[in-house]
Amino acid sequence: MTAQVGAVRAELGRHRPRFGEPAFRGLVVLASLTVLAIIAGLVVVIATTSMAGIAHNGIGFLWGTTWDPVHSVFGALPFIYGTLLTSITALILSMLIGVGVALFLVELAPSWLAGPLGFMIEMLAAIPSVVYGLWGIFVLAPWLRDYVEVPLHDTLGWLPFFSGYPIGIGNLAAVVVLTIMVLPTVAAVSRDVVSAVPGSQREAALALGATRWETIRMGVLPYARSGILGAGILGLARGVGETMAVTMVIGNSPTISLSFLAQGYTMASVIANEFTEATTNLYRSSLIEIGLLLLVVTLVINAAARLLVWRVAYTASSRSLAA
Amino acid sequence: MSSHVRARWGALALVAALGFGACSASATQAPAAGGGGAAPAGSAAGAQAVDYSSVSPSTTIGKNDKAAVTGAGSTAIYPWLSAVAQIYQQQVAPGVAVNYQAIGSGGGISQFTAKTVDFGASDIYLSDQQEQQIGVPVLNIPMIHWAAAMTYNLPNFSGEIRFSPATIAGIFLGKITKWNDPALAADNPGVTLPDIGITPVHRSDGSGTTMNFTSFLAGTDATWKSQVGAGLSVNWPVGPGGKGSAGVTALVKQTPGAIGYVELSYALQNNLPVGSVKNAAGNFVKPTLASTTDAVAAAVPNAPADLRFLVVNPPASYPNAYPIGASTWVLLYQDYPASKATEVKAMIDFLWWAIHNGQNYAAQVDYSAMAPALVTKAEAALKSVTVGGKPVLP
Repeated sequence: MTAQVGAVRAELGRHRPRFGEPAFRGLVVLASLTVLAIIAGLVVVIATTSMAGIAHNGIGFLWGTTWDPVHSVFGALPFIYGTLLTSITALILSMLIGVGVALFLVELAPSWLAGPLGFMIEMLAAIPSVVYGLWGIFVLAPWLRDYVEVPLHDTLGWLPFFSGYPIGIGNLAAVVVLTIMVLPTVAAVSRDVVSAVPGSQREAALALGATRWETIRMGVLPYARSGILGAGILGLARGVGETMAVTMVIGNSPTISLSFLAQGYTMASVIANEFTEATTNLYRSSLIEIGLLLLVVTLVINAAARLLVWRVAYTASSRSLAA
Repeated sequence: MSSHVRARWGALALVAALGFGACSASATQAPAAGGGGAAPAGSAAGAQAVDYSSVSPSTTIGKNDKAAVTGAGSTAIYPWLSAVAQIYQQQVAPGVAVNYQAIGSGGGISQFTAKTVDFGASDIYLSDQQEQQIGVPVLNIPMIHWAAAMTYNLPNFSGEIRFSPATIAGIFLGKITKWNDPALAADNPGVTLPDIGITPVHRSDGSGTTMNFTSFLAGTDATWKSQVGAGLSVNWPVGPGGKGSAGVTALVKQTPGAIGYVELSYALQNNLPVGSVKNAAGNFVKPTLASTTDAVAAAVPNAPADLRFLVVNPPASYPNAYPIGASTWVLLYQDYPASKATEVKAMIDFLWWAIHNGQNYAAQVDYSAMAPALVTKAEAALKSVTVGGKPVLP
């Protein structure tokens, strides 16, 4: 034993390269700095090119509701509202479905079903977003109008959420498309988190006489909670930044409406729509300012979600300590 | 050198693919669709009463030119420009390659301003402010035309709808909300219009079609002019927006009662129902390649010398002119540095051919040709281009 250790030491001593350690260290530091440099460069370019817009639009850009390139009046609120409305609603829906799928795959599904089903859900993430958009505009929107929006409007039209004239294209179609697009992220990450819960958690609950549901509720979910929230953050990031599919189905109308039947607009969509033909400096700069805002909104959402995860993880650990 | 050229062509192919995606004008099928698609909105042959190669004999055919010319801008001009550049290379000057990037008018103007291309192309001429920003004298030369066609979806209705400008403005302002509104009934005597709601659909992306459609409305309706105005993108009072001609068409096709405007070539190639629009002479005119060229002819006599003019709302003296015409301008510098002499000669020779023989190919891609009177003005503009102070053309 001691002889073997000595042999290894001798081996290492003979062949240890003199510059290997610092070179490796330098390489990985460089890789990390590259990421930082890219982000810094991005922020600097976006901030400097949006200066003309910031100077002209002022702070009122944040709550202005008019977007009028002809008269150079630029307000971003409808886009901020549309982005948050669609991505948060889609996140809630996809969390409900995604966590359900994850629990089914890990806890209930027979293995011959769990494999193919998990694969299918991951396949959803591989479909290009323009395909979702085309499907949304040609298949989903007419179907939603005839079988969802018209009945909703006829029965619940007195609610502000379902007022207006149903045409298929609008906030609801955007939410449905986004939900489907966010779902694979939420479901796949949640599945990995749930399957990482140690078997001892389940065995302990079962040994105490818990049913399957009680085991999941008391043994599995509390353990996986922060991971599932993390899945939500990834999903939200996907939803906020999604451009093409949403542009094709949301109706591209900068209005602020509670109604899911109304048309809306998102920050990413207005950039995609108008950037190529923005022929004046101020106009282009205002669009880039929207991009800057989108960056800020994404950072705020991520920071808030990160805080939430920490808080949940902290409460969970203190509770288990107290118990 | 050769690998550099190859890389450039690779980039062109890529840009071409992107361009088709972005403008969605189905240009790939254009030559085949020219005959069949033209049927619903008048014959394409009508626009070709003039053989443009004989408007004025081409004094310079640059068959010995050897250069790669780069340009960028409008997606609308792309189907015609790429077809014409290809034919020019095959039939006239094998050494001339036109590398045109269809990145949109805004991108074209900024590249032209940054002087990274030999020419730009835009669906709207440069404003005084933009010309100042470039810092050197420039030329705006309209080279191809199209029209904004009104398309609609009325279930169980096969007739043709007629629109007066005030009715269109009322619909897109949200004042006219039913198809059986008295204003529409007055435009369409003897036609029973259904009692369903109107959904006005616009282009959500910035577009030359929107520019000319809104200019047309601003020119005929005071409320529109003060409330909305004209531009590549405007603040639409009502209605959903579709991305590209394809997006507008999809929305119109799927929404009973919808109305939208699309570029004429797209309407022709997809056999969309199109309405006729009342012009200053009081006639309801269908959008065709010929009635669009008529609108161009109507605008030329009053056009300023710098060719910055729109082809909307032609005067009453042109009874067959369609009132919502559109143009794409090629943007050139008045003077090029002497170091660029080879490229500039190749470019001007090509553009000279494009405003003459090239106009004969417009109908093949469902675009309208320049009016002969405009060709004369464009000739003068091309002749004024200099390299190091010396004229390029004799």
